[in-house]
This record gives sequence, C-alpha cells and structure tokens, in this order.
Amino acid sequence: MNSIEKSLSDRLRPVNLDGRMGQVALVHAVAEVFQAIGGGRMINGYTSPYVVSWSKRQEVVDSEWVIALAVAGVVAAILAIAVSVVLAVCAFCGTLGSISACLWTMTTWLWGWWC
Amino acid sequence: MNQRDLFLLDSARVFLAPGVAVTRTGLKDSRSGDACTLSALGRHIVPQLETGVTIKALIRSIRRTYDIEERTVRADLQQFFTVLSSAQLLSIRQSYLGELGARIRRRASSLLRRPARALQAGRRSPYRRYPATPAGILKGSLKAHQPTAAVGVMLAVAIQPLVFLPLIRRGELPSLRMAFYAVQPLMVYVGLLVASVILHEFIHYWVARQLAVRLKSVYVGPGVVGITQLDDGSGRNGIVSAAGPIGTVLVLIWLALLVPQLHLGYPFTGIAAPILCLAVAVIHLFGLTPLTSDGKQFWKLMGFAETRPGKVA
Repeated sequence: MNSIEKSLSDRLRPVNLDGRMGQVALVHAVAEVFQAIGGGRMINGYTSPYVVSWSKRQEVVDSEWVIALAVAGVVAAILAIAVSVVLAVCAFCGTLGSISACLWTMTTWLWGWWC
Repeated sequence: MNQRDLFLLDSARVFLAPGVAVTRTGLKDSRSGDACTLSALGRHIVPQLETGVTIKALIRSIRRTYDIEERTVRADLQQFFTVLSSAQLLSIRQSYLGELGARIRRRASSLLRRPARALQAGRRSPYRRYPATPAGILKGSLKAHQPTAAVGVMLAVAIQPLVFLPLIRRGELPSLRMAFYAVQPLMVYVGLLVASVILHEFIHYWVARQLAVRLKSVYVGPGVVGITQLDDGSGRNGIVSAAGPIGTVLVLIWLALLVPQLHLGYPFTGIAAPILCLAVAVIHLFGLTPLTSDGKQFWKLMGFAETRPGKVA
C-alpha cells in the first residue's frame, strides 16, 4: 500500500473500498484542492460549513470597556486593596475626617500599632 | 491553534445577533446591510440559530447525517462560528464558570504534557450580543461584571489580614462585625466600578444618539462590555468613543467634590468618598490610552494615530 492509499484508509470510512482506491484518491485530491482555496473540508459527502462570499462589509468601531485589559484589571485590584485597607483602618481609628490624620494612622499601622 | 479563534465549549449556546436574519442564501444584518452567502451545511445550520442551539446538539445532528469524526466537526464548527462571530453576526452564550474551568483544565493538561480531554482550540472568549438599547446596555454590563463581583468577594477575604495586621501581630482576631465593617469600602469600590462602567456605556450611547451615529449591538464577555458602532468614516465615531472615558472621569471628579458636602456616614465619611471616586476614575483614564479601543479612536481623533479604517477591537 503506498502512502496515499495508507493515508486514505486512515482518514476515510468505510475502510473497505473494494479496490476503488483510484477513484477515492481522485475525490480526496479534489477535496484537498477545494479546501486549499477556502472551500472547507470534504469527506464522505461531508463538506465543512463555511462562508462562500460576503456581499459587503461595513466597517465598525467597537467602544470597549477596558477592564478586560490585564493592566487595567491589575490596577483595579491593587487600588481596591489599597483603598480598602486605608479607609477601613482610618475608619476604625476615627481619622477619616482629615487627610493628615488618616496618613498618620496609616504610618502607625505600618509600624504595627493599631491607632 | 489560532489565537483569534473562539474558545467554545460544547455547552455554548449559539444565537443570531440582534438584527441578523436568515436569508435564502445565508445571513443578512439589517442594521449594517452586511450579507453573506453560506455553503450548504452552513445554510442548514443557521436556521437553528434563530432559536439557539448548543454546539453539542449541532455536532450530534451533523454526525447523524454524515459519517464523520466528532473532532473534525467540532473544529469545523469552531472555525465557522469564529468567522461569523468576528462579523458580529452571532451571539454566543457560554457559562463563565464553565469556561474558567475548561481553561484551567487545558492549562493543567499542557503543563503536565498530557493530551487534553477537552478539545477546545482558540483563545478568545465568545461574546453575547444584545440590542444597542438602554435595557441592552444595562443587562450586558451587569452580565459582564459577574466576574468583577466574584473578584470583589475574593479581595474581601484577602484584605482582612492586611487591615487587621496590628491585631493579628498581637495574637488577636477581629470579630465578624469588625470584619464586615472593614470590607465596606471594598464593596463600595466594586459597586462604584460597575456603576461607572454602566455610566461609561450610557455616555457612549447618549453621544451616539446626539451625533446620529448608528449603533449595531452591545457585546459582552467575561469582564468585557462594549458597543459596536457603524463606522461612517467621519470623526463622529472618535467623539463617541472618547466621550465614554472622558465623561465618566468628569462625573467621578464631580462626585469626589460633591459627596463630602452631603456629610454621609461611613463608608463615605470625610476623605473616603473622594478617595473612592478618584480610585475608580484612574481605571477609566486607561480608556484614553492607545491600549484600548476607545483610546485608539481618541488619539485618531486628535490626529496622532493612523487613519486606516477598520475594526478596532
């Protein structure tokens, strides 16, 4: 069995081709060319679904929210952690009233004291 | 594997996008006028998309007609739907959790050098599409940010040891009430982030209506929401794109100045409200960088980028 016939017997069913390998090889060759020009896969009468042609394509512009970008996602998460920690600690210590008081609270929190 | 191909699960349900109808030869988008002619099997498949069909059901029905390997049909359908989806003709509903699980399994299989049982090729998450209406924007934004809410819950747990670091160093643990009190700023941050994204999209919508720019649909993926405009070749598309991030940042700055004057209680007390609003505004400022589709349009409008027309995703 040559290489074409071997690949056919591997890929096409039914495997028992009753000596009609030449015909099947021709069909296979046509199918391969068909597929190469964008026509899809053709096996056993099956042809893969594909778009034959487009009548016209109007250009579009997508306005996409940026959260999908990894950088925006990471920044959002880091900001969420930082803001939450600062606000929660300052709220516990009652220093949310002024920036300087909250900053001092955060400094002492970093040193390991609560308020 | 083509990275632009869709990552489709067998459970994904495929529909026609809003405004897309089946014709004798294929599909037609009534909003843009785009039409395509499909092959015989393609024409057989698309009527089923009017009511929605899963990939699994499609594979089964095709294999009933043709003696063909399941893997081959799956790959062909994936290719077919990738092409139609990139032309905004499809709306594909796929479970975010199911997709996450399949991606983790695929990554684990590749790390362990095991052949993956699941056969999904491609990388891109499929998009659901909704009509470009206020209701569609609201529904789409809430759907898109389910993962954001899940990340918020994970962060709520993760920040506890940080907030209570001094207590934990002393060998004490916070009470449940204290823990809840501590996560309130985070809850407000996540809520404000999602609300600001909805506002961002509504500003795009409102400006498009004012400038008579035609909108095609709202598309939604995990953590992604956007509006597809029809490109009329003028600068109006750029104005619509730039208006979203600019308008949202301005509203957030206005809120940062306004809310402290309302003397609200915790978690909006004192400096909390401006910090929260400005932290969310920073994220929207990314929307004006050339990294994003809005930013690309903005810089094109300002005359700093290439003017080649095309799809910006």
